[in-house]
Amino acid sequence: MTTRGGAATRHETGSAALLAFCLLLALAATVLAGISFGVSALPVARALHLLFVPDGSPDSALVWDVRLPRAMLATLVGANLAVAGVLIQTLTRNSLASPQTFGINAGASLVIVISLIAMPGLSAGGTVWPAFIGAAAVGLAMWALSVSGAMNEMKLALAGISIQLVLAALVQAILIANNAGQDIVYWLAGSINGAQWSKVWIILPFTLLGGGIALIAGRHFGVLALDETTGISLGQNARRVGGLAATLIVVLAGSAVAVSGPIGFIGLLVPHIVRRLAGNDQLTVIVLSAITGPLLLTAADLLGRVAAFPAETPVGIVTALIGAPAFVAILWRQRAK
Amino acid sequence: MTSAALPSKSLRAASVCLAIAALIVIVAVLGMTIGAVTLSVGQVLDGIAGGKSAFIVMQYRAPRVIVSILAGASLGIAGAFLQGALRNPLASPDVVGITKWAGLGAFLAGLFAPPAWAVWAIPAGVIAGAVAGALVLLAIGRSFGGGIAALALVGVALGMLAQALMQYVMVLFPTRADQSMVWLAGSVYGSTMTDVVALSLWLIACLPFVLIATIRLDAGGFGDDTLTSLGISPGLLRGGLIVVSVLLCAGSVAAVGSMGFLGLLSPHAARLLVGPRARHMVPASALIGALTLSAADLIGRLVALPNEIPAGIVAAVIGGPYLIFLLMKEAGRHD
Amino acid sequence: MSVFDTPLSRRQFGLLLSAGVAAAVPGIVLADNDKRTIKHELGTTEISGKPQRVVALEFSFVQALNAVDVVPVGITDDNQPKRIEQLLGKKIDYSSVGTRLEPNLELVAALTPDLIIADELRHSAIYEQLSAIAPTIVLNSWEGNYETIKSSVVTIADALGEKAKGEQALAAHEAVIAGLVAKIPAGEKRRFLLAVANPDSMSLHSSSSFTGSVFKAMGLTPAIDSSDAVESGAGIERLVAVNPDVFLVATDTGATVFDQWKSNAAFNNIAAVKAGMVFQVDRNQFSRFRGLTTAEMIAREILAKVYQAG
Repeated sequence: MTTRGGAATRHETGSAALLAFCLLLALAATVLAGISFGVSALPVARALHLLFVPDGSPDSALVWDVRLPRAMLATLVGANLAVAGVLIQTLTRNSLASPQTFGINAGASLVIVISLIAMPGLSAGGTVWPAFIGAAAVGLAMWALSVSGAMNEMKLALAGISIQLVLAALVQAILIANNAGQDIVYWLAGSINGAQWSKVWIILPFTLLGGGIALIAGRHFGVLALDETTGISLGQNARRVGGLAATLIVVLAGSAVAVSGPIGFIGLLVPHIVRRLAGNDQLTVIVLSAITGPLLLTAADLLGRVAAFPAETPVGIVTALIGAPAFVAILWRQRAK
Repeated sequence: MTSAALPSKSLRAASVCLAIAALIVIVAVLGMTIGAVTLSVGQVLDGIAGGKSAFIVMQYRAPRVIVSILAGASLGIAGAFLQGALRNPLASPDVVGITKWAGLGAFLAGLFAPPAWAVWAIPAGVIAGAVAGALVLLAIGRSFGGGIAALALVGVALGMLAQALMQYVMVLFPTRADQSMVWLAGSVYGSTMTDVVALSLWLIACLPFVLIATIRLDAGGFGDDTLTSLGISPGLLRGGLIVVSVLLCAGSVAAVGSMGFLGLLSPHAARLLVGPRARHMVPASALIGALTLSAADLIGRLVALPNEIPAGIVAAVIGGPYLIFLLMKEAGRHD
Repeated sequence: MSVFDTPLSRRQFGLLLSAGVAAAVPGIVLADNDKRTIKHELGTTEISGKPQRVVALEFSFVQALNAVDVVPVGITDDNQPKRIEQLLGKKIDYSSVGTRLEPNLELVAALTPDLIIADELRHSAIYEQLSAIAPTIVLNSWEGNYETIKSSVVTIADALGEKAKGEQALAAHEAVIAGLVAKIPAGEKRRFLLAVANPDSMSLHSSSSFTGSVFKAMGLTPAIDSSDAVESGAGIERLVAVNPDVFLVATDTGATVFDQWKSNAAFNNIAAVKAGMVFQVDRNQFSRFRGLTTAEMIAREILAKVYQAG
């Protein structure tokens, strides 16, 4: 049982810890598989050995400079998106909310594309700031709609999708006008193909900062999950907490889009999966999501590399192909309610 | 409503429709005269008769104007039916995934059909895709109990699936990405008289269904229980409206690409102007859709000469703020 | 006795001569009005006379026209006239008819052309409308390799009624190439790769691409042998697996993955990087333009960069 305010009992904490351990193990296994597998496959033992004893051989360079940053990027992006998904679902009290369905990813993409065209010399690191602007703009709009209280869950989701479609059309407009569609079609689909340590360093601070704050304030976010009047009566400054959550969502989702393009379904589905496994305690959900998101994204990336070997399928397409049916399954589960 | 109010509403609706029709005529005339090469009305008439500007007038502008009017009208009607079926003002062929499936069908047809067959293969792919998407939607929706919320959301999920598949196709053939995007955005560029004829025939074939659906549309506003007590099956009504909507969409998408936006906004504007009664709203929605698309195409042709901006993008750029306004209004209403 | 044993009498000779002239004259007279049937990717088109006003919808066509000294009246220059200047090395007088992706048909029609040259991939959909404006031939430019581009030059020249001139230009070009190729040391076994650098990945050009087939014609080995012209979305791992010995990176202005990969240890294990055989080249020249002059320029650049020979 969860107490009011969302704090967990000791029993729940115990089983959550066990779950977290299992998920971490699965994540480690998937990362190892990802590092071993590739166009020049390595035996797992050798890959493991190289991780601990880099020896300057071409294999070692492959592991340390190509596959490991890719695994790291998948982990960080997965964590960002999952935690952003948890926060946005809590903040809007809407189980269909996610950075993707609320158009936040699309807003970030649009401003990134505009910046890349307007300032061709923009480095990869520089795209983070346009991403934040785009994510914040859309986030603000959706926040306003959500807070008005007049839209039910589904209407809000449809509104978000409509916004996402308009923004996607604008992205297409810019690409068509500049004959640049061919160049970034991979990024648009959501891809970690071009993973580098430099990109990892770009997103890392945001993951640590955003994730850290989310963990610290996790208990407080639980209040947002209750209705507004209860929150006020509990003496919380709900608006301040809400604002913090919104900022975190923008930072986490925006930085993810900046390094890997708009990847969907992680932010939508991971909170559902985690809540199904571990209950509704906010802190637990955030922690477990931060592990499950990377797990799913790394697995999806591995699948994308295996499926059309030796060609690579962008991870955003894999998450969509699996995520859309999964979304339908979630709706199925919810229909009884 | 008193009996005195009824005729005045019809009168108002009629005058609004007439006004919009007049606007369409004006836009059409502008569309025929203005462009990269400006022609006077006399030159246009001369061109129609086969004179000097015959190509520009008859082969280039006339098909575009006619196709944008027809496609815009059918998207407007399709949107009205879909919103009625799902009892949700935010439903549109785009959001519920139908245009995306049509698009996927077109992409796949374009890939696998030899280029000489493309003229037939792509519209066939569009129709196949739209129908497949609608069938899957209705089937899954039915197993959900046929409820509206489920239909809308399953449609969203299916649309995302189709979008991912289309992106996959674009990733496999990146050199065609630009062309694919133009098609996705929706464009009247390259319309020929063949398109005009095909679209007209398709719409004429759909007309009886449209009329039946319009008559039944008002019933859709009642709750499911009321409908059952009236002897109308809610599932059948919804399914029927969706099917007609899909057929109309398929026709437009085959002609102009994946432009679902009009299906969202035209019914709203229509409701604002003439009220919610189907026999007023549906024609108004058709006219507004026609006006919007032909105006969007005209603007797209003029704004960035000698480049052309696809009409779908102009519609999105104008429609975007209107969508926000709409959403704000929805949010302000408590229902 | 055969007819050859008897010397021709003067009368017979005179008859023969006049017969020959009589046979030739109609040929000379007809040459200006004869209808030529040009075979192209979408069928055949009949062209009569010598077209003077040509509209070219791709860069390679502009180059081909230049090879036979024809200036087109209309070009789809993507609104970048500087590119045309770079393409031809000189400024020409033409009208822009929009983008290669969506040529503005009104502008094309307003130019009253008598020949339109279009690309198969991009313009097949508007072939009908183009044909209504003027006789149109559709050739494979965007996905064409060196052989296709070379035969296009002759086809275009034929359409212009100057087939002989086209063949001459081609022969001259092949001589130039042969001369350049002769300077390449024999037994060159190294594998050459051209890649276009994008913001997040590279597109690798194989043996079926234009540049790849130019390499082959020069006797060099392309690093990727495939019937797909371009392999897109290639990451570092793929590049490392391909492991070219000579690596040409085509860039536009702007940041691309090349800047990021230069500091990557796995990238530095590539044979070309270790041998110092990585060269940055202009994307316009190596990928977009495609044509006879472009092929010559590619050959010269290879000579200059790889072999340090003029």
